[in-house]
Amino acid sequence: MEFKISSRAKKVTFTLMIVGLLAMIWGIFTEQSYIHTKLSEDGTQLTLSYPTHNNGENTDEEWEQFKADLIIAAEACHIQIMEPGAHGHDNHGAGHEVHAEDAHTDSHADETHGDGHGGHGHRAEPTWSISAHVIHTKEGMEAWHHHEDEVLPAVKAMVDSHKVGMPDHQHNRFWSNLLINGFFFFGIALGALFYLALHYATESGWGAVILRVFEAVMLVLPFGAIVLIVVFLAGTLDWNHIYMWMDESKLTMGEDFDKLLYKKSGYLNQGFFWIRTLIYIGVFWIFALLFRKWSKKEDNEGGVKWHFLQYRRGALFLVFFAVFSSMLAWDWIMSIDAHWFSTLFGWYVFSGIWISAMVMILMTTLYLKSRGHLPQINQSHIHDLGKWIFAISFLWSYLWFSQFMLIWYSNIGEEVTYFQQRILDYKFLFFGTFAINFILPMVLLMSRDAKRTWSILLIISSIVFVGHWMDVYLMVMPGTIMNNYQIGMLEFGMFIMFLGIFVHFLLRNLSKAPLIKKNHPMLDESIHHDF
Amino acid sequence: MADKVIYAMYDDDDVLKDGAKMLVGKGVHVADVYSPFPIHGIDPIIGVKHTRLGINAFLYGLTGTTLAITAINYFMIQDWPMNIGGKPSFSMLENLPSFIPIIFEFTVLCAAHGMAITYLLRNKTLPGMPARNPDPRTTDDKFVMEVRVNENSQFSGDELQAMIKETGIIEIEERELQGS
Repeated sequence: MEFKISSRAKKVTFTLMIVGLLAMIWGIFTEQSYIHTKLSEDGTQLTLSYPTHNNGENTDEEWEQFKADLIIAAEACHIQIMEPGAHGHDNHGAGHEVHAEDAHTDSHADETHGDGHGGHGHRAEPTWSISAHVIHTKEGMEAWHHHEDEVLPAVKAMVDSHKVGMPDHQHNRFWSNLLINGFFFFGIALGALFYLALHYATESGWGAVILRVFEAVMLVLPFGAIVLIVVFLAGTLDWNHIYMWMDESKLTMGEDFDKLLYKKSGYLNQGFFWIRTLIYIGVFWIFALLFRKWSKKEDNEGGVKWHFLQYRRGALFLVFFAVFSSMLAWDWIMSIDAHWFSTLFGWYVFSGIWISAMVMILMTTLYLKSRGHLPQINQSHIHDLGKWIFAISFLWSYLWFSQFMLIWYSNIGEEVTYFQQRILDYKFLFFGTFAINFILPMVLLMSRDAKRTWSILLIISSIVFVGHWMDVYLMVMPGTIMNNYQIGMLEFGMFIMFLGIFVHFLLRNLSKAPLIKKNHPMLDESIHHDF
Repeated sequence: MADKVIYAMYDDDDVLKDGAKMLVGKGVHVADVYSPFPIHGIDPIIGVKHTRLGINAFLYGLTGTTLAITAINYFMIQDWPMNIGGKPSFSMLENLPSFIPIIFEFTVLCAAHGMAITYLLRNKTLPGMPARNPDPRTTDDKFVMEVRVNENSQFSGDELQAMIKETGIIEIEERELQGS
């Protein structure tokens, strides 16, 4: 029962990688710095500001260039941009000459879009206040903006939708995406490792025929781990500013001093962070290798010795996993919003990891079965995997809601900013993700027949898979690039590329061992699994 | 012909299952099986129809959800809006997350109670009702298969008994069917 990667599978995975890479490179060049837009309450003035604490590397020339670009882009839509002093002057086409004065304001003004603490330093922040009017053409025809009060929102939309902007030299979006995808795919491998250990520790019988699929998924662990390490290393080397607690200037007395980060620095400091990170990854990888080694030994030597060894070590792994899964969620994800904390966060992240892994395992199993491998797997196994996806969706939703509801209800300033940001800037994605990840599996996977129908399983699992990628996106993005988010080529490309690499390694791992364990003591029970 | 019913007793559920499979394979219709616990996989063998309890559960749950939403809307929004944690209850939609736990619990309460009561009524096993199982030992450690003679008119009673006796029974008994 050997498995060989078909040339078609190779082609598909390589295509995914290349298409993803190209899309990603395209995406990198369209990254833009974050420009904050604020409409005054009476709607007559739009304030554009460029928070230096967030980007910091755009030059004044680029800022001027942005202003000029915006004026030209507005003119193309028959909108004339004016600085406040120029009110009433109806100088057609003189937009180029308008240079509004840069007002330097304190970055505290940006509190609603920061993380509520304004501890990002006190460097001056270029601000540009403008008003705008409809340009009446010579023929007397009005442009498509008939009302003056629709003009400023249209200008705001140009900036918010990144039609006009400044290039982002720091590649915030790129690094954030790298973290999202690295963590998502690391989580899939980790979830498979966890489930394998759980399977052994509980002496389950039903899944013995699928264990090699679990092993293959879990052995892709280094891929995600390396990506994560690259992101952290870049943070340490100051190439990205994902983790604000890595900034030493916030811990020493001075104008950037951040009391909360200082108080937390006993735990959140680079040395300890790296020790923890390496320990998590090291322990996971050692266990993964050992499980694989024992599993192969069992194949060759037989007997129940190796089974019981894995049973005991599986239980031991769960102890490590219980602690590490929570801690890595704090260290890698929760510390992006370093001022914020949630005691439920570890479990919430863990449930997301688990369901992504189950989806990957189900998909791989269905793929193998559709190619005529694994004849021992019957509908009952598929049904069981479907049940897991159904059940863990509920677990995830339960934890999501528990975390959200308690923080939302208590409405404490230190806690609620996290959700405020997500609801104000990411409303559709935030609630949409919850709806998709909860309601879709609940309604469509509830019946027994649905869990035995491949097409339904495939559709729901794919959507839930993307949904949980989106969940990781929403954990990372609001903290790193705030409301400057887009789902564009960069996101799409990197996800596709990572998926291609992951699946490619997964298939290679599958081909390195027989698809069915030979001497697992519960193999017979598993083959006759039926209900 | 008086309705006769044959009760065959087994002391193992797997033996009963194999026996039932064999009998059904020969064309015998097995009316029912009495067991102290649910036997996995017996339903499709003896052709028990899929239970409709799940549909009932959904309807009871829906009732619970509706009742809870209606009641909370009246208590907390219409009748006496309260300001809890800086969140005045002026709008049902905006305060919905805080009511979800209650709505959820009430849904579960209604579904669970409705299901339990439906089950007891449908099986005529309300407290105080006479037991309908043929032998009290089926509530302990024995399993009984019920085969009705008039539902298997292609066989005579003796033929049926002979066939059943081949299936590893420990006791067999033929009775007049009383009532229904």
